Amino acid sequence: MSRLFSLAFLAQVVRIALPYLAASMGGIWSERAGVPNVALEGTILVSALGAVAGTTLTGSPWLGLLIALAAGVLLQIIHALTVLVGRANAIVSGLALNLLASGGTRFLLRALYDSSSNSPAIPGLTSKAGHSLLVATLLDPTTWMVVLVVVGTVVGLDRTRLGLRVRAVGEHPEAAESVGVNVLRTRLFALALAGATAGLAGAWLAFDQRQFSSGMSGGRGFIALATVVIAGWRPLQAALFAVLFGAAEAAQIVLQDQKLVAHQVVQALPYILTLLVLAGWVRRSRPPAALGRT
Amino acid sequence: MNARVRTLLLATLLSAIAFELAVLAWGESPGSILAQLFAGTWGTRYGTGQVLFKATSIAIAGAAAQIALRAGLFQIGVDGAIAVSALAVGAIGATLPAGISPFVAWPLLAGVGAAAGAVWTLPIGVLRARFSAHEVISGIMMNKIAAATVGYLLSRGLAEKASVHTSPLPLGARLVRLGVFPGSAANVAVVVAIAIVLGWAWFARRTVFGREVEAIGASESAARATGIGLARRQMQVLALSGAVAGLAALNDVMGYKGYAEEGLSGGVGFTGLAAALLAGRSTAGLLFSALFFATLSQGGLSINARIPMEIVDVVVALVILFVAVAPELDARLGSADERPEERA
Repeated sequence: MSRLFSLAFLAQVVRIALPYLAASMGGIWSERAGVPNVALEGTILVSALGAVAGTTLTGSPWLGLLIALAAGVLLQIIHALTVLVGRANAIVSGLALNLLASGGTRFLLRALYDSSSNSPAIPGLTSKAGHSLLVATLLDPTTWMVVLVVVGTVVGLDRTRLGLRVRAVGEHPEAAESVGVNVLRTRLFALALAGATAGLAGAWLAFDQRQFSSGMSGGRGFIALATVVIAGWRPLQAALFAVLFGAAEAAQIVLQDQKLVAHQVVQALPYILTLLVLAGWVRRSRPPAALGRT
Repeated sequence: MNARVRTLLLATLLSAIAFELAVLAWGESPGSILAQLFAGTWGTRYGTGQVLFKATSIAIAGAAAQIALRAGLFQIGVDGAIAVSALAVGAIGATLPAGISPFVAWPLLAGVGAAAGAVWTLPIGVLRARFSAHEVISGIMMNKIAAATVGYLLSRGLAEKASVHTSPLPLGARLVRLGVFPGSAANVAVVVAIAIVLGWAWFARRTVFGREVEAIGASESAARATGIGLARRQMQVLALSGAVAGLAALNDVMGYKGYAEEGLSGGVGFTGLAAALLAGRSTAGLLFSALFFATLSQGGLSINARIPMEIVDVVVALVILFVAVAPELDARLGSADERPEERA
């Protein structure tokens, strides 16, 4: 158990939690604006490929990062257009976009790198060489971008004009409209923001693993969605649950040889907790009043 | 032309354009790719059999989703129910005696599949009916828990030693293959699929249960006002949807592999949901869209040497998106052309 008090364990927690943190903040922006978002999973995936393709095509990981965010924003803008302009069911749109992302990235993987499993290796934003995992993670600028996103969401949603508007269109779009808030534009902006933050999660994964591999989002978008629901659509709580799930997974990895719990149990933990919260057994979790009423 | 047909034509046209552009961008000719896709599916008896085999699972999963959609419920948990049922059928089927008669084994295992699917789906119904939790969220969560549960149980003793699947079923528990499609996995489960789809169509129109479900789907508040037991019906509908989903396991486990393993049905629950969305309330539409998605899925394999088969997933995703936005698109185009007689 002493291994749980080591720096290596802390580093694992941070590593696993970072993409959950970024993606769950994306879920918060989208759903607080009233647009259900199951497309987070696909957003992470296209951004991860965006980071790798951008880096190999331009030779610059910084441009790769930029292209990753752009890819995330693009996917969420499509979600916004089908749901807000095309009046499609948000769940249908999200599922279709996840399928588009999983098929499309595998198609591009073969088109760009002639491989059905993974891309060639890419350089990171910073070098990992000679550092421990914790130091390498702390030196990585994307780590701090995720921290910025979390702080920005926690503070921004509650205390800025933009945050107020987002919450207003998510709770009562007619009332927001009547005081002059442009509902469509606010929701579009919230989804673009969701695309950028979930995109950051994808970029983080790609730079962490230094390559793109098929299906590498691995359900992280759904875990992020679970943290949003468990947290009652509140950003600070969502961030805490993202770290909690990161810690549970890290503990499982660090204590693997002791076989205390099967990895499937840890894997299912966020989802089981979500069901318990939905049943009101942990505490009430109230979605934004106009969620899905788009 | 009625609005639904016009919508589907519009969606088909847009998807076909997207497909052509993708094929052209790859440097291939769309016509010859399509020809190869059809040659690899409906062109041979093996290909036709494979399409029927895939369409069987999609149609059953689609019926499960359509049953819930009729009540206005978005049953995304079909996939998890299939996964759990497949394991239940495989694990219990493997314990049956070697000489068991098909007349005992088939109905028994069908019952196991249906029961497992219903039990697995019930929490979604309870959460929806008693706690007003959105069925999509709990459905997604149940799917993820299903995947973990199947993996856990297989690794903890349900899998045969030194393998990742359950012990093989006795011969009597295997479904009979259709000999007219030599080499393919098409089996008598196709009859089950057709029976379910037609049976539900009859049930929905001719029984109190079916009519009440329709009423709930049309308007929950109106249904409640007329004295329909909303919560009870919602739970029943979701349990029924889960039971039907569980029957999709028969096709893969008893008709094809002869055992259960992780990821056996490979997301067919979602394809079924897509088929149900495409079909709307139509019975013939569900059978047709199951064949359509099965043709694309099998056809992807036959064109894979020339263009990545993932293009099929992209096309399916676009079809779903275009079908979802087509009514609005149609209404906007219609009002631009000023055709008031069609706006009824």
